[in-house]
Amino acid sequence: MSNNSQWVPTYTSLNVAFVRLILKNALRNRRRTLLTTLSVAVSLFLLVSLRTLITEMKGDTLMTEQSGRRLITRSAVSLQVPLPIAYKEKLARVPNVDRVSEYQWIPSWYREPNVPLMIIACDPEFMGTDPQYAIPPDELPAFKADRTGLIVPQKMMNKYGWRIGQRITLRGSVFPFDVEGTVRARFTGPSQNAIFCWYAYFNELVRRSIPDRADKSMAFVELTHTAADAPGVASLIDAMFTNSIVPTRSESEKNFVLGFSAMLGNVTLFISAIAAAVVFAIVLVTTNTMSMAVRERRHEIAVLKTLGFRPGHVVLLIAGESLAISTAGAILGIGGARVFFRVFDIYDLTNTVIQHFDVTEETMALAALLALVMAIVSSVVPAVSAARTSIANTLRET
Amino acid sequence: MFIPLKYNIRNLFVRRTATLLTAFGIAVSVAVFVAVMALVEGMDQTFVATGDGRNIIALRRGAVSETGSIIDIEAPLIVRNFPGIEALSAERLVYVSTPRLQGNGSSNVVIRGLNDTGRALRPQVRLVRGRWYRPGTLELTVSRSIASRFRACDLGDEFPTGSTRWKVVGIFDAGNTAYSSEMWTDPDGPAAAFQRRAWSDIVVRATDKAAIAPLLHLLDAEPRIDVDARTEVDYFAEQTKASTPVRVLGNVVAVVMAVGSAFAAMNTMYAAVGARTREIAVLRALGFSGRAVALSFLFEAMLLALVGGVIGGLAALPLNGLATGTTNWFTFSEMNFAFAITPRLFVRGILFAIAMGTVGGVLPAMRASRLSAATAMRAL
Repeated sequence: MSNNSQWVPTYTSLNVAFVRLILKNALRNRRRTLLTTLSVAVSLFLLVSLRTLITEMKGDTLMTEQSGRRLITRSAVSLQVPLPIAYKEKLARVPNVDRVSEYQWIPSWYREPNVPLMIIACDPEFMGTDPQYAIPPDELPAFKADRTGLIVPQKMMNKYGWRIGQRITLRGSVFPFDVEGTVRARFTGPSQNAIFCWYAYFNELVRRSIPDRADKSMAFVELTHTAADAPGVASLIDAMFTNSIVPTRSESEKNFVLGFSAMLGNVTLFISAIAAAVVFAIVLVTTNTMSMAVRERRHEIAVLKTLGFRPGHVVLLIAGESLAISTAGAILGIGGARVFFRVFDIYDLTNTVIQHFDVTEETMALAALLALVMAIVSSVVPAVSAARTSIANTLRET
Repeated sequence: MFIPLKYNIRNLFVRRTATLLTAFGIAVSVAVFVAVMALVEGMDQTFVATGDGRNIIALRRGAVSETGSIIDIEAPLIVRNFPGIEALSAERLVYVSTPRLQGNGSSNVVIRGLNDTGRALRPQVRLVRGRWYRPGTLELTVSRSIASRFRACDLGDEFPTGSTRWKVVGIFDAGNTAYSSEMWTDPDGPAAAFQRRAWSDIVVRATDKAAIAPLLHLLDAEPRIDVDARTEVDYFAEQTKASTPVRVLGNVVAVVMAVGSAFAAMNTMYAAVGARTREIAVLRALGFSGRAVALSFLFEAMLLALVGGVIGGLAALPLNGLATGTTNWFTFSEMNFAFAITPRLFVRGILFAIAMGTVGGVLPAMRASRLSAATAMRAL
C-alpha cells in the first residue's frame, strides 16, 4: 500500500492536505453547503433559545449575592391570606434576622389597562440594602423622605418616559384605589419588574377604602446576617407561627421564584420535548445532505480507493465534511443567538413579560457539544455506505 | 400541457432515502406545531365552553379576573333591585396553594363560595359522586380533575387550609369548562376560613337577551358600586389571552423550524433537478414547456411536503385528549384542560407543511424550467 505517498494520509498523521480535501469537498456544491449550514444554524439558534428559556425559568439570573440572605414569609395557605402586621415585630426579634420589611403586591396599570404593572409596598429602610440593586445615592434619601415616593426600575422609566420628580397615578386593578406617587428614585439590577412604594402609604389607602384589610401584609421579607443563617431562621419562623391565626411558610427568595415556575406545570418537559424534536430535525437534514453528497461522488470515492484510500479514510472524509458544515452552522447559530439576545432587549420584545434572557456560556458549550455529536451521528450512515463502495462495481457503472 | 402526476409520484419513490429524510424533517416541524397549537386550542376551548350568553359578570373596575377582584359587601343589595335580573349570585373566590399528586410543586387551586342560585347559573356542572356541600359547614364539593390531580382533594379526604379542615363530600363533573379546575363551597366558607368578608364578583342572569345591554349599562354607571360588568362570554373570551405566551412560543418555534425544513427541502429539490437534468431535457424535447417543467417540480416539492405534513399530524395525534394543567396568570390559579387536535388544526398543520414545500421548491423549479433542451442534453 502507498502509505508513504504524500497524498494518502495515515491514521496517525492527518495531514493538512487531507483537511484541505475535506474543505474542498464541502465547498464543491456551495449552494447545498450553504443551505445545510443555514438550516443547522437556525435550528441551533432555536435550541439555544429554548435552553435559555428553561434556565431563565429557574430564576438564577435574577438572584444577587444577597438573595441567599433574603427570606420571604407568607401564609402557608394562600398568597390571598395576608399576615397581620403584628408579625413584623416578632420577625424582627428572631435571632440572626438583621431587618424585616413588609412585602405587599399592588397589581396596577398605567394608561393601558391590559398591560399589568406591579407595585410592591415595603419598608423604605429596606431599600438600598442590596448593592446589586444600585440606586443613585442622592435619590435614595429623597425616597425615604417622601411618604408617597416611588422607586422605579430604570427599564420602566425608559419604557414609560418618566422623570425623577414626576407625579404619576397608577390605577389599582385588585385594590379599590389608585396609587398616586412621585418618582423619587431609580434602580438597576437583574429584576426590574416592580415599582416600590412605602408600606405605610399603602396601608393608609387601604384603611380608607377597605378597613378590614388594613394593618396586614401579603408577606414579609427578612434579611438574615449571613446566607448560612437563612434555612435555620426559616424553620424557626414557621415553627413560631404554627398555631397562630395565620400559619406561615418561609422560604428563600430563590425558592419563592421557583414556586411560580412550578405553578406552570410541566413546562420544562414540554420545552425539552420540542428541543428533542429540533435535534432530530437537524440530524435528518445533515444526513440527507451527506447522503446526497455520497451518492453524487460514488465514482470518485471508488477512484480514491483505487489510489489507496482505506475505508477508514473515506469515513473520515465524509464525517469531516459533516463536521465542517455543522461547525459553520454552530458558529452562526449559537454565536448568532448570543449576539441577538444581547442586541435586542427581550424585556422590550416581550413587552416586559420576560425580563431577562441571557444566553450563558454553559448553554453555548452544551449546544456546541450537541452540534458535534449530531454531526457525527448524521454522517454514520452515509459514511459507512461510502466506505463500502466496491471499486470494481462502481467504476463499471458508467 | 401538464406533465402527468404519476411522473412525480414515481420519482419520489425512486429517490426513497432523500424523500423520506426530507419528509420526516418536515414532519417533525409539523408535529411540533400541531402539538403546541393543540395546547393553545385546549386552553381556548375551555374558556369558550365556560361562558354563558345570558350571564353577566361584574368585577371590580380594572380587575382582570374573579380571583383578583374585591367587591363591597353591600353591592349585591344595590344590584338586586336593577330591572331585568332573573337571578343573582354573589361569590367569594380564594385560591389555595395545594400540592400536586404527581411530581413535586404546588399550584393555586380556587375555592369558589357560591349558593344554590350560583350553582343553578352553571348548568354544565353536575354532581357525579357524593353530595353537594351544605350551607354553614366547611364542606367542599370538588371537580373531578382537581380530585384526581391534587393531594387531599378526593371524596372523603380532609383538605387542610391552615388551621381550618375542610371535608370533601362530593365530586362534580364540569365537562370541558373552567369550573373543572375548582372546588366549590358555601359563600360563608371562605368568609370564615380566610376572614374574607368582601365579595369577589357578582354573577347575574338576565331575564332575556334584550335585557343584557341595559343591565351592563346600569352596572357600569351605578355610582355606589365601582364595578366593570361584561357578559360571561366576553369575560372568558378575554381569558383566552392566558394562552398567548404558549401561542407566541409555538409560532416562533414553528416558523424557525419551518425555515430549517424549507432549506432542507430546497436541497433535496435542487439535487432532484441536478440528477434529472437529462430527463428534463427529454421532457422539453417532447414538447413540454419550461413552465410545465417548473410546475411539475414545484408540485413534486408540495407532494413531498404533503407526505411530511400528514406524518407529522399523525405523530402528534396521540396527544389529543391528554389532560394537563398549568397556571392561568389572569386568575393566578390552576387551570385544567386537555390537548385538542381539531380537524381544523390538522389541516392547518398540513397547509403549513405545504407552505414549507412551496418555499423550498420554487427556486429549484425555476432552475429546472430554465434548462434548455439542447444544453441539458449536452450536459451529460
